[in-house]
Order: sequence, then C-alpha cells, then structure tokens
Amino acid sequence: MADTVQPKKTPSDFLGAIIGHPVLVKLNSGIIYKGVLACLDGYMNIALEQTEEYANGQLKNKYGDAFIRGNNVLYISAAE
Amino acid sequence: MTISKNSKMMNVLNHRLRVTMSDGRVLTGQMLAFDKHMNLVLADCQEFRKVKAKAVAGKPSDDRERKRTLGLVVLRGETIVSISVDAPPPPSAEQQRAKAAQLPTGPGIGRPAGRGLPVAMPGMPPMGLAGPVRGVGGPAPSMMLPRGNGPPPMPAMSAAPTAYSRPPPPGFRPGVPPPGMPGAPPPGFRPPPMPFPGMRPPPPGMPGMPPPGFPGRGLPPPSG
Amino acid sequence: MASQLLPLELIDKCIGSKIWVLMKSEREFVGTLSGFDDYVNMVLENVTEFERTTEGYATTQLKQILLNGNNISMLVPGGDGPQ
Repeated sequence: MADTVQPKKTPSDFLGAIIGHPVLVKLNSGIIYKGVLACLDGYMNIALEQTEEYANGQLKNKYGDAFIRGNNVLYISAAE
Repeated sequence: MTISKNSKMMNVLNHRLRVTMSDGRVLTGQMLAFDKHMNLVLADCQEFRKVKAKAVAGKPSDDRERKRTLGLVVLRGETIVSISVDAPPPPSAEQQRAKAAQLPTGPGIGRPAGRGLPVAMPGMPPMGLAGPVRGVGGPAPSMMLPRGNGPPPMPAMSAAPTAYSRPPPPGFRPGVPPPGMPGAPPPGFRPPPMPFPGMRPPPPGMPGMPPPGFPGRGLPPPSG
Repeated sequence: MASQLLPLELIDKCIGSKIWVLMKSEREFVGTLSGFDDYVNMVLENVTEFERTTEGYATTQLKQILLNGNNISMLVPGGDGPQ
C-alpha cells in the first residue's frame, strides 16, 4: 500500500521521511530558515541544525541549533 | 449523524450563497455540501476582493479589487464570518421532474383503445376475430398438438399449456380436444350455448335459448 | 442523505491530482496533492507558490512541501492557480 503508482503520503509520512534531511521552513512572516531537520512534533514545532535565516532572499543570520514554534510555520519543504 | 440535525444548513443546501470571510473576501457559489466544521463545497464559485462599495464610491476599479472565477471550491469553515442566501437553488432536471409529478392531472383519461367490440367470454373468440377463414392460413396442425409426450420442452417454452381463445383451426381433427383447449366445440357437435361467430346475435330482449338439456342458469327451465 | 459528499471527502478524491490552495493571506499554492490529515495540513508536490504583490505575483518553485493547515482558507480541486 505504501508505494503504489500514486502513493498516498500523509503529513506524518512526509515528516518521517525528511527527518535528518536538509529542509526549508517558511514562516507566516515570510522569513525562511534553511537547515537540517533534527526533530519535530505534531504542533510543527521544529528543531533545526546548521540553520541559516533568510529575509527577502538575503542571508541574515546563522544558528547552530534553532527551535521554531509550530504556530509560525507556513510550510516545511524538502530542500533539493 | 450530527450534520443532519444542523437544519439551518440543510435548508440552504444547493442554494447560491454569499459567504463573507474573515479576511474580507466574499465568495458566491452554490453550496453542494457542508460538514460539522462548516467547511463548505461551493460550485461555480466566484471570489470578490475589496468590497464592491469602493468601486461605487467613485474610484475607478483599482488594482486591489478583483473578481475571480474559482469554480468548485472547498472552503474552510474556520475562515467563514457570515453566510447569506444569494439565490434559490437552480432547478435541476430531477427537481423539474418532481415538480411535474406534483402538477394536477388534466382531463385526459387513460383507457385501452378498443374497437367497440364486446369483450369475448373466455373460450369464445371475440366478435370479428374468428380466426382465419376456413381453408386459409392458420397454424400447422402439428403446432396445435398438445405437448407433453415429446421431448422435454425448452426452458423458455416450459409454460403450462395455454388456453387459446380461438376456435380450432380448420383441419383440426374434431376428436378429443386437447387439454387446456376449451375452445368452442367443432361445428356440428352441438348447438353452441352462445352466438357463434358469424351468427347474428339474438334479438334484444330475448335471452339466448339454452341448448336442449342445458340447465338454464339463473332462469327457470322453460315451462311451455 | 442530502450532503452526499462531505467537503473533506472531496479533497480526498483530489489526492494525486492538482490542487490550488488559497491561504488567508495573499498567498496561494498550486501543486499535486499527496495527502492531508485531520487538520488539513497538506503534503504537496511540484509546488508553485504565488505571493500577490502590487505588481503581480511573485512565484517560487518547491519540490515537496508540508503546508500548515492553519492558514488555509480555500481549496480548488484541479485548479491552475491565478493568472
């Protein structure tokens, strides 16, 4: 059932698949965080490693570890 | 089911609604479905942004005003502020049929199209339908033989022998009538109890003369 | 009964097809729906993000995203997006 021609991928399937991978997190404010997804929970609270903060496409800051509270998250994207 | 109790929403099902959303957008569309969260399915949905009152106020429609056709939309109930009825449900083919069924019936009456002939008694041919003229046509005698001794009938043909409401065709042996053939006795057997085809009916007011030895039904035997 | 198809059942039928997601803000997404959950968080693939600005739409391409259902306002099955 998991990998048919059109796999049905629920949010938790997606999150399970991208843990440990580089991701891009966009907040409602438009600020983007790029980093390696360390862990997350059902609220979309996110812990990132090697984080870069972008505003208007420009790198603003770097953090070793970052915690993002889930209510601010617009989307989580698997970075290429 | 909880949603069926939400009769306020049931009442406006299939109506064209005008939905105001928390960010000021207005949507119009025919509501096809809803659920307990007040998520809606809107068909032929149109979105209006920046209320039209602004355009009326004299400003030429500025860039921020827009009207878009979205089509079939699922609207999240969370964002809905208010709902009002824009128009009644468009008449669907089904509803029109239901409406037609409610119409009062006209003066027309359905009745079988007859030819003014009296209904024949069972076993008697109807007047004017006396079967083929003697010597012309008619089913082959073999077709009229009683079935039962031959090979088992085909499944589709396994009906019981039918009572044919026709006289025996010409050429039918006037011997023992086949079972289930209560047709009129062959000519010359004895006077028929009823007017035979081709025979003039008895004059009005005169009861049909019972045959000799026939116990008149409902009438006392002729005394003299 | 009267509502034969619940709204979220309609979305379930969209899994595998393109869908247009309109947010509460001036942001919209078009992509192929992979799945969603009870909160209508959605997994989308081959996504175009549209952000309406004063001079048209700014678009961003994304391979695969998990979209927070919190800010979703409208879903248009099979939609092509704005323009």
